[in-house]
Amino acid sequence: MRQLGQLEAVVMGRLWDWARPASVREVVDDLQRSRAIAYTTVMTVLDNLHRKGLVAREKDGRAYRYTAALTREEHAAALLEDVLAQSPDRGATLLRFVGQLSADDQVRLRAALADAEAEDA
Amino acid sequence: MLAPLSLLAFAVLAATAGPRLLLRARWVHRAPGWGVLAWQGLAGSVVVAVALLGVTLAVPLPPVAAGLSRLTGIPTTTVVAHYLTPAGPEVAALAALACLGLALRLAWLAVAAVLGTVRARRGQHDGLRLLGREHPDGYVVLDHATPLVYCLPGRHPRIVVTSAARAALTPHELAQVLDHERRHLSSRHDLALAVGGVLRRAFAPVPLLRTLLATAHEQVAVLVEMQADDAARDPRGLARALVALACGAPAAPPSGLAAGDVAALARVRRLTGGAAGWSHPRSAAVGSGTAAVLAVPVVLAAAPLIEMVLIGCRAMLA
Repeated sequence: MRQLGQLEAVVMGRLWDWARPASVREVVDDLQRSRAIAYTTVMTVLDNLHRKGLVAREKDGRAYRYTAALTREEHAAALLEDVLAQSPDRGATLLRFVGQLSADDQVRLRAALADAEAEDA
Repeated sequence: MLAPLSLLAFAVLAATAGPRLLLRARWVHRAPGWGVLAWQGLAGSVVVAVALLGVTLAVPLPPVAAGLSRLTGIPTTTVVAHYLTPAGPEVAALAALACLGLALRLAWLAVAAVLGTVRARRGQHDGLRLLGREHPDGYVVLDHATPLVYCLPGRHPRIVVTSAARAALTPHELAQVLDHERRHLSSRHDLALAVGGVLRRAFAPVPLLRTLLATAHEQVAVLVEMQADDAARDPRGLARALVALACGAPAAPPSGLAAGDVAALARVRRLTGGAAGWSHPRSAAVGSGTAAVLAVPVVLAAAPLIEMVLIGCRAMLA
């Protein structure tokens, strides 16, 4: 299961790098340059990714061609949405080093640090 | 009769005076770990007082009285006589229902919170596996233009640093931030926040508890940040990192719904202000004070029982 997860990351990486529809065969051929891997394994991985909504697929003759549903940047942005959301219950899921500040607070924060540094100088 | 009244009086006093005292106390920011304990003790004490208020009101009901009689060995009639209120059986039944309702609500919200947290964390872990790059210093790098550092507690703890955050910090500053995050993970601060959040929502319908539990939850959130700040070997370096990350991110809308990070300024002042002393006697005072506050509602609720036992002893001696 863990290996499948890592393989998902590798396959997604390929689809993101290519940024065009790719068949299972193309992915297999590319992966086989660096490791031994079965066609059915890659098919299972792409099927899983499709089930999770991470890739879109379209019929091309008898096979499917796969593309990443979101770009890398879009996916990262979606991931950080949870982090940036100001929910009082977020602390149970993840802890953020420092929250978002208003422009006024940013000025105050800089001044507080500058005051402290000036005192030492 | 006396038990419910004294519990109510205690709950009102603790819920109004307690937060005022703790918000004004300077030692709370100086020893944030003890501060967390004090807030949790205060919140727990008032929650227990309100719960026991319901229970003591419900004691005259036959099933409750019979149970208590079996537990203590005191005859049912005596138990009822000591807890009887002029309010009558309707109020007793109402109190029992309210207790049961709140207990169910608490259990339901706790389960929902656990499931929600598990799901949200799994989403993060899945995304990080696809997008993140493992760094040898024990964190994951995520390519993104917003400077952010956060940690995912749990069975597979993770610290996430965006590429923009890495660019905004010197290696020394980043090391301080990582110390901060590691303290969050090792102290399981997420558990304190999760319990606080569940209690806050579960008792929101109880007027006395609504404000107290919201304040306690918010204060604990601030104090765990300060406690994690104390893990950094170079407080000044951490303060610089905090300012760099907070000011490097886009500013929040000035009057948005989110209050933003109210603690950031207090944290920077604290980190740059030099360490103030803390002593063992102070720890002992806060610890025993918290224990006392927690013991009060239990003693008040059990007072009629204690009285019964004492009367029993005197009767045997006579």
